Amino acid sequence: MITKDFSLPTEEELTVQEINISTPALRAAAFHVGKQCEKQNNEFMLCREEEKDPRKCIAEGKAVTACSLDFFRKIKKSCLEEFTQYSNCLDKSSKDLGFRHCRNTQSIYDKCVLDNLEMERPEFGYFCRPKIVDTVRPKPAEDAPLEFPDAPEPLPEAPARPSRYGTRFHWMQ
Amino acid sequence: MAAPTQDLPPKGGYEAINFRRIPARTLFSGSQMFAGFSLMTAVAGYLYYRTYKKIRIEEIEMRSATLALEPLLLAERDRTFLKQLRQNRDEEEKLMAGVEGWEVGKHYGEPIYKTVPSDRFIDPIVQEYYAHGPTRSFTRHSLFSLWS
Repeated sequence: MITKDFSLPTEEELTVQEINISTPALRAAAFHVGKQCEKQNNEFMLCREEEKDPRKCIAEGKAVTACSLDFFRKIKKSCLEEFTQYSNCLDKSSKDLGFRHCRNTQSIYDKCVLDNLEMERPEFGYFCRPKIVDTVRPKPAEDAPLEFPDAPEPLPEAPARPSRYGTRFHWMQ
Repeated sequence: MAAPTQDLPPKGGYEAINFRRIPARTLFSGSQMFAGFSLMTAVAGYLYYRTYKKIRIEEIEMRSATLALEPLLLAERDRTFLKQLRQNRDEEEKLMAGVEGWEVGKHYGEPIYKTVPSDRFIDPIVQEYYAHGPTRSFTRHSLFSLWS
């Protein structure tokens, strides 16, 4: 399927600085990263959903990674201590990084982010809601419906007549 | 020799044999059981109602965090995936260099998908993706839910 003519992006195009952060830290920052990079994230997900082709969404993907990296740099400069404590708490308190065990550390971290980065944590169901994305990219064309020029003629319609034995249920008459 | 003794019944005869039925001791009657069951169900239902809302909110929060991180992880995965596809293609070219009639990406000159345009992206099957690597990578991918 991936023939010589098939256009794949080059290695240089796909090499960017990646985020080198583990799962507990990502989950600790999840709400704020999602809010900060909401525009880029939504664009990327819409592109992925519509085009169904990862090759066409590389630029949007790079924007997502760059935005998240930018956010983590800001955290490192201002709130690193609180952030590491919160991610450590999430990591050590439960097997699936549940938020409910770490509310105290979360409030300290939230307050720090609010003071330094002027960002409020979105409410708990914010990212579960569907979003409407306003993009510049045009919608990709759908496939034309298949045509079958040598399909046979349809059968003639049977003449309408009342059923011989009535209906199964009395209310259907 | 002592005088022989006979095995006679005891004085006053044997006791009467009890052949009457001994039914089990009834702790609760039938209606008491139904009443107790209803009471327990009602109490449990109330406690369930109280915790259900809390659990639902927590589940939504977990899902929100997962969805917020999804674009980031998906972008990274896409880049790795596309790099690997290019490496697979190069590897296949090297491997099948001496085979007559072999074009890379086709089966002896026959394309895999015939009714779609040739530049359409269709995910390769898992076996094709891991064809040139160690078996353990393929096993880990295909049995992911068992390993994790």
